[in-house]
Amino acid sequence: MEEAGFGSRYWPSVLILGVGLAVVTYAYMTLRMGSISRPGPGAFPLVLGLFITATGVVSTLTIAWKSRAGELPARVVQPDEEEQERFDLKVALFVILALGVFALFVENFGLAPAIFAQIFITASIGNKLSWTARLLLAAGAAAAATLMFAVLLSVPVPIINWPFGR
Amino acid sequence: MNDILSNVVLGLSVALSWQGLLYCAFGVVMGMIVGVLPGLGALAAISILFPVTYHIEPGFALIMIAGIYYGTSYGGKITAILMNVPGETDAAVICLDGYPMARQGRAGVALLLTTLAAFGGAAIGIVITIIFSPAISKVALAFGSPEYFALMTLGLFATTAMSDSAASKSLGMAAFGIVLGLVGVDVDSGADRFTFGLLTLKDGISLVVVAMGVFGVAELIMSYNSKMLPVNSVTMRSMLPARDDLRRIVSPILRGTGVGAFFGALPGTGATVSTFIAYGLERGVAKDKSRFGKGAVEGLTAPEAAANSASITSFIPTLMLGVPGSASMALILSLLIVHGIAPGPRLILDHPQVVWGLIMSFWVGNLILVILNIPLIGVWVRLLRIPTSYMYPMIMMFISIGTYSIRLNVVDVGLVVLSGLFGIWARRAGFPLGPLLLGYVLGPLLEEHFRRTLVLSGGDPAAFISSKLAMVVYAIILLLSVWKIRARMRNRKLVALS
Repeated sequence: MEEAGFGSRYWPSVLILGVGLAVVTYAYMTLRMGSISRPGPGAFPLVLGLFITATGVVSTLTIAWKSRAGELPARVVQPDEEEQERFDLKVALFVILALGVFALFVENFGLAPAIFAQIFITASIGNKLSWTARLLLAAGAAAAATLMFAVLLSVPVPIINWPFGR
Repeated sequence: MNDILSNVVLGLSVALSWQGLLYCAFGVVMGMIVGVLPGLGALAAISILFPVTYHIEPGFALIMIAGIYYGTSYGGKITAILMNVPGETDAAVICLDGYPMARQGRAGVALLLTTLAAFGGAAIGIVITIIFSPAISKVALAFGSPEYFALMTLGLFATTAMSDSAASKSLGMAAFGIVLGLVGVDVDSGADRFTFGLLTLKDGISLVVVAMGVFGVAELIMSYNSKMLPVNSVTMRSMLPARDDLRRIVSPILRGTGVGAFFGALPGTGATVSTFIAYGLERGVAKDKSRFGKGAVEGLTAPEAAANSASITSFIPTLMLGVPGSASMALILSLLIVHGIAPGPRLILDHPQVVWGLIMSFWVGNLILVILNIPLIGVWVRLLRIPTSYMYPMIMMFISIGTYSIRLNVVDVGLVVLSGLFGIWARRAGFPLGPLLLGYVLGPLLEEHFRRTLVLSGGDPAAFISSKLAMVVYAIILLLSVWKIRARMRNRKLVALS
């Protein structure tokens, strides 16, 4: 965790403020407001946006007021934060790749190849499994997914498809 | 009294017929399986099995689909406890204290206690439904839009008060959830909102996709490298709860059941809202609040009892008033309409065997679920022993097929990735995800009541506080906010001192 300076103390509040202003602008520019007795599609988003903006303003001012009075600790510490969970870019990229491959394959090649490819990629994270284990896991998952979803639950999805054919 | 008895007998004759038993058993077993599978929830399962119900008598179809619905909530807590991945949005709160218990090697106890809480909540919920059904529907009928608007706002503020994050962050997330819920075509005016000209956004962003992303995908990525849990220490013996545990859970179960039964019966709120409120209530009445989030059995059992009594009593507004409290209830409502049965106050008069058969089937279903959960409880704990290298690809498979099967649209798979990345960012930045989901669920309803209040009063903003109930609710919201701010300040001082 980085040392919290001026920016990191303010940014969540400023972010909320920004989202609020964006919602207000969007609602005001693109949606019809209607009248107070007949609110249009933009009325509720506008009120909501104003509420978010107000939340952002109040929390920014509170922080400014408190840090001037010296009431804020230099750094907000989460006492029992778990250090076990760490963001690993490689894992994230593999997971995204696996989901992307599934999305690309499922309609073009069918459910079984999509699951096979996806499970093979996911099982390859961190090189914990042997190639044989990865292939077996992928094949088993493809078979199980086909049986469960396509056969038992009859999800209308092709099991195996000729590439890019409809 | 005679009325109640004849209704019970009529209901039992349907629920205990061999078809009634069969469809009920099938429904709850499906619900358990789907609940246990992370990512795949009741909504996906109900939608997938929906076409099957066209070929079944409506009474039995209703029994089966209802079984999936409340069966999922028994199953959903299992992954919440063992893996911190809620099978359903109702189970999100169970993660807060259930997962810490699993990490302390008390997963078996947590599973047993939640099963007891679930059955307790459901049983009392059924009795309440049988006895107070007409009275509750009459009370709810008397509510207007200003009252609903106030109650839903209370739901959102209660979550905010419950979360450990800064009030601004939780309120911001709740409001952002409402914005996500607004994406799509506005049913009232037909205008596109927040779609940015994208065709796939016209139908809105699916709640299941968002939930699967922010919990499922985010958890998968964040915990992939975490160390193996000490699951070997979980023995049959350690599943036995201590006498102290059993003593501690009695009042939370009763309080949770009360919260659940009340919010379940209100249209618009439901199991998910009641779990948040039950958790907040337990935290509020507890002497030592620091135990919460670290495996407090009160924080585990009260929401579970609330979820299960709410999932029973939520049938009251759906069947008696024709107002569904959740997306699953909306599907159940459409099941009746498909069969040509009009929901509403006349349903119980025109089709008593359908209504009472369903209510009595809740007994059958919940008894089957207890049998599935207590003797088989060890099987679920054993799930943890499967190495992550095998387990995570499987979770991945269910997330992707589950996401894809909702609308058969690959864009949803992309949305799940985006929600997952958003979930990771939010976790690291200290923005809580519970209020996001709650805002999403309540957003469209809030807007409906917002509009209706203004239209019916001819544009008078004072209409929002026109009734005593609404004023009381806003007073509660104010008190909650003050309490939250004071609690935060005290925390800050403590941190500053240390």
